[in-house]
Amino acid sequence: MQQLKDLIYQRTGPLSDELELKPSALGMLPQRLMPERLVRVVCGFCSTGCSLDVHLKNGKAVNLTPTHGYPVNSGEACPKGWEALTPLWANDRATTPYLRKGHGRLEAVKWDTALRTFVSRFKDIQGRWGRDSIAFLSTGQIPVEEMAYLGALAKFGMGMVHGDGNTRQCMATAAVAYKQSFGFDAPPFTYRDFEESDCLIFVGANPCIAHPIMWQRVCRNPHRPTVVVLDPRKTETAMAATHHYALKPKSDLVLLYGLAHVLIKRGWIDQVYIDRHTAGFEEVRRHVQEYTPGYVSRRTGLSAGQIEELAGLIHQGKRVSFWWMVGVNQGHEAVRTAQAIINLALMTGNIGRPGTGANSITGQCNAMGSRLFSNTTNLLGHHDFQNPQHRGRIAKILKMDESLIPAENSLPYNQIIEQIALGKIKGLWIIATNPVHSWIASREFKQILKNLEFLVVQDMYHTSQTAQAADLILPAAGWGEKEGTFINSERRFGLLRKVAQAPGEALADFYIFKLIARYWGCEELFKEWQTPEKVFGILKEISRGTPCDFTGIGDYAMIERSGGIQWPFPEGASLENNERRLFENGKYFYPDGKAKFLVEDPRPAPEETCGQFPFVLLTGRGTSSQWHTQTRTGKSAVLRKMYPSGAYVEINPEDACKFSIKDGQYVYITTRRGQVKVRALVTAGIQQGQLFMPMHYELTNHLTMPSFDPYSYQPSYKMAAARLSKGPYYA
Amino acid sequence: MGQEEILLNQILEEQADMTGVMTAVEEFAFKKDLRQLPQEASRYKQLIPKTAPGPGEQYAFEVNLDQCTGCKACVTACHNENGLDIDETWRSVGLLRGTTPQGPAIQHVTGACHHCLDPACMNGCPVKAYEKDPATGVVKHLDDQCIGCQYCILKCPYDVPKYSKKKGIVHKCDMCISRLKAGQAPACVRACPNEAIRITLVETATVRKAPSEFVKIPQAPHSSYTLPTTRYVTTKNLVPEMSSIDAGVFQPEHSHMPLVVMLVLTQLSVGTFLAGGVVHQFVQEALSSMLSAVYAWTVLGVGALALNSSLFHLGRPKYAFRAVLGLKTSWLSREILSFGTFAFLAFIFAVQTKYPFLPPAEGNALAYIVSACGLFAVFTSVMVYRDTRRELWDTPLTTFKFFMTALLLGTATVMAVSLSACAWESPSLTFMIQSVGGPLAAAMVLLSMVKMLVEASLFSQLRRPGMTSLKKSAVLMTVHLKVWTIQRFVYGAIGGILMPALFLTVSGHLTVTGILVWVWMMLVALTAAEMMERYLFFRAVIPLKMPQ
Repeated sequence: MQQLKDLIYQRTGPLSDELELKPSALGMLPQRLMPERLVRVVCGFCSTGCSLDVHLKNGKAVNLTPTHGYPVNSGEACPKGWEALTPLWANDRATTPYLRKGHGRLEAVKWDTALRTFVSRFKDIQGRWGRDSIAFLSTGQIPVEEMAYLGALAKFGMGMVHGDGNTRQCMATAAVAYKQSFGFDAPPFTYRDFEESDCLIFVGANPCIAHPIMWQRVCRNPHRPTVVVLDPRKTETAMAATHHYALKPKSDLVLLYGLAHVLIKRGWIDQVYIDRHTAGFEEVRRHVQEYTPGYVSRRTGLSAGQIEELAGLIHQGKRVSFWWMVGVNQGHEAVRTAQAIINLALMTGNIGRPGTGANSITGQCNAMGSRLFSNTTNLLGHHDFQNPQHRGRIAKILKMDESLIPAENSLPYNQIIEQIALGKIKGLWIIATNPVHSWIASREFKQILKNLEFLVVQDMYHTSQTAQAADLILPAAGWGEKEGTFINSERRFGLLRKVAQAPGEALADFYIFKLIARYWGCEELFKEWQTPEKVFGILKEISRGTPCDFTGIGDYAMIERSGGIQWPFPEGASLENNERRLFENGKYFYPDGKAKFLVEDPRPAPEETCGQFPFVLLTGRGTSSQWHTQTRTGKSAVLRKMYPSGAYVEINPEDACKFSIKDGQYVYITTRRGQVKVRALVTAGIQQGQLFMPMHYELTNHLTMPSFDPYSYQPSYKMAAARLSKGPYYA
Repeated sequence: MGQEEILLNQILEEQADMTGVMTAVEEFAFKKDLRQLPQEASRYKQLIPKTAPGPGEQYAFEVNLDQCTGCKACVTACHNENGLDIDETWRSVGLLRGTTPQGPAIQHVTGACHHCLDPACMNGCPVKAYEKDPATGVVKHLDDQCIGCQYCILKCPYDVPKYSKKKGIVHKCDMCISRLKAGQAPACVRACPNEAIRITLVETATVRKAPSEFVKIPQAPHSSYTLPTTRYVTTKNLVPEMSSIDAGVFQPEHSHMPLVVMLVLTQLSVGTFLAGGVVHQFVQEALSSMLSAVYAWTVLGVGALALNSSLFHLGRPKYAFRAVLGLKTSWLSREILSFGTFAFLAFIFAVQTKYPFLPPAEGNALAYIVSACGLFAVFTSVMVYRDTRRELWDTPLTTFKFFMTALLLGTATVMAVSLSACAWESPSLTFMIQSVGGPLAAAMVLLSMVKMLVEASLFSQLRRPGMTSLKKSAVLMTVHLKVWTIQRFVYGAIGGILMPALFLTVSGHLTVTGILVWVWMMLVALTAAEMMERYLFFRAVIPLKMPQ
């Protein structure tokens, strides 16, 4: 009878059961996905460093929840974090090595063949052209231990001299700025400062989209803070702010000097702090004298009143914090701009106290690890290749011959590429990054890669633009398929755990390095580098006595137990407070303990607009569900739903009207590097005379202008002169 | 095996070894009691009502737009916490842009089901797979009752129900009612880093009194007929001129091929019955009863084909019989029942033509009843689409098109089958060509011309300034679906104007086979043209939805 009834009208049954929620300690969850165990893993996208509890069922990762009570994200995550497992299941994962054969096609080969080819080709090139004829490009996406292994293997084992990372594209400026100002690359803040500030100033940063969980901390601020955004665009963060100053692109340095001018003129500075803890202020005073509100107004497009108002906001704040991101870092005078921000914090004494600081928000999940341990620009642990004492110290800790450590610095990324173009570098090994998409003026870059005799790409997917250009692809296990640690923006070590099985014969980068050491014949050097945790121990030793000393971290278990641990954490320290900031004692890392003020005259952008190219082309983050070149986020159907599938350009309504361009219509954007056809998105959020293209679409970097900061060599993605013309209407 | 390969094998094994996961460094044993969770759980509690809805109240979403910065965590949290299919989402976040009195503005808008007081999805459901929970007001979908007809997707003005191809049914947001009942916040509420979404209690009387205060968002559909309950709160001045991010993007909709075939063939079937009924009045007794039977069986055959085709549209066709349950509110139920009745009566009528069991007067009466039933069935088809309130569909044009298809294809079919039935008797064929073929061909020319002209009137929208839903449809038809639009008119002109106009002239020069080929080609061309008209009807429509 019930069956008959069900046949006609069935209120519950197997289909309803599939989505039925049952109680669990994580709240109600679908019965079908009820976890048997949780494994705590730090997220592998951005530098926020959120913790995720991965749900395991029958030994398989089936779902995840952001970790409750973790000091970073306290139960929340952005869409990338929630979808972190999905990219692992993509069907274009590289499951076996691929080698480009005579006919030009990539063919699956055995690991043994791949490794033998790797060694023989690179050794052959080195034999013919010298040891610096091969180089590597590393990443901010792999754990510290792997990064250190890669850097040590390439430079000490394989004899390379040059190697750099994709962190050059996002964070090099902040690293150099801090190093010069503080004596060490030391972002001073803890995320609690977002909550404790009464005035937050965001420069070239859009955390609502780029770091939603940091923005969450701003939302938790109980002090009804003033939130200021300096950005040419009306971004999500500008909308949420209390004050938005839409300055002209790349006029930030002038504005920051102008603010210093007003603060000094009105005596709104902390002379006691300046005298006790800083050096070089008099030069700043002299330097900013000419940056009167009138002058700054002409250069920035803001009114003199706005400049006075902003200086007033800084003065009125009791705990003012400055936050910058790639809007600053990617510029032709980026280091000095970052330092102009640091200068403001130092001169107003807004540093070393709760809710203050000159704070660089980092990009990738392990950009901070890369800055310390990639062994590229700096010798391991922020040491100096050119300093014999440093070389001696590292050689001793690693129990190896000091002569294996190069006494010269690596070339930065852009110069490695120049060397390839010049035919000096003939072999390149790219790990976990996709420069054919992401490097500035990418079409030229792709062309230059053809100069290489041998290109190896080590990646999770065989389909990325760069992997497709490779001669050899090494299949890598991804986040969640291996172990190690990441360091987040606030210097916090978080633990990465293996929660999923890598597909096919994909191997953790750690294992790949280990195999290469063996096949290359230098495994003796890495006798003690048996597991990531062993390497962590070695890195701890390297950090001993340096500003980032983390010898107090016992083991991985301690990191996990504590909810991550920030450096510094020297041996003997106790973890009473797990949200710590630097410089509370006013001591900086220069021998005299003082921070340095650094200033320099602004320079014109290398490519100014002109009659032929009258628009400024800006680039940046599109949405929170897109990550960089979308190698991973593009694999999630859910994330894909959250952004336009094709490239587009934001155009001001007035400009659209002038060119009679309709919303949604195709347009051509042309720069001196080339032309692309994209959809127009007409929005008043972008100012007249400016265009904005999200960086996640391959076409965008066909247009960008290759110019670089002279100190950090970071590319200036945010300024190119462009022309706009109308394309086909709808199709 | 060399040293290298030994290491390689060892490493491949280590990589595959998952025992580490099972011996976690630190065990996070499940806590039985949720109250032991850290402060987040209590924070989430602030975002849901302390009490269950009282009489005259129901649960509702409230979104603080000032806090919604477009991170879209709510979408993914809903996806994960509810265990949805790999590509399935119940919530979406739109983006408005424009210039407000405060200057340039962008505004993200998160939305899910608005748990309407008078849900269009529920009213349209032919199988009663929706219910509005009287205690909480939640509009709940009964997955096991659903037959996968997807009519609710067409009906919902907010594009809320989602079809799962894998399961053959629709899913939708139930406001995580089981979480609410357990005192927990829904997935989207708990996942918003900025606390932009909360659950509140609304008085249903308030919603009825001031429906425009709910879902008050530029570009969102008018809310007066479904009475949605989500309230969007903002201190900003969101002007109606703000446009959604996809305003300039043109995307043809799904074609729903089984429905295209079903609609055209059911209308052909009804039209044939009507046209046949007229024609057989004008022929001699002997022919009349023969033709009458031919028409009846044609009607029945095509009708059966049409109804069969509609089954292909269903995710779970074996439960199609449930479709009569929604008769009280659903035009789809009414359509299914009307066509079922029409087919049944047509069958009785067909039997009657072969084995007359009714006296002529009653036979005639039956013919009128079948006709009336057929016409009513076509009317229900019209209403199925008009009731969606989509602008392209909810016009007299839809009524006109559906009935005209019936007349046009009915005429063409009667012509083809009449001539075929009479083909082997030359006197009756000649008679048919002269007295029936001529007028039918003339009728076809007239009907085709009128129908195509009226249809083409949509293109006048293209000259309008600004962008409207109808203009978007016209653009879709003339740009993205151009090939189909051209073919629709070319085939329509060939089969409906050119060939019938030349019919009398050429019939004198053709053999019997030639004549038959001519009339059947006419019918095929015309049916193809009508199928394409209906294909465009589905593909060029602009669905109602929240700003994207």
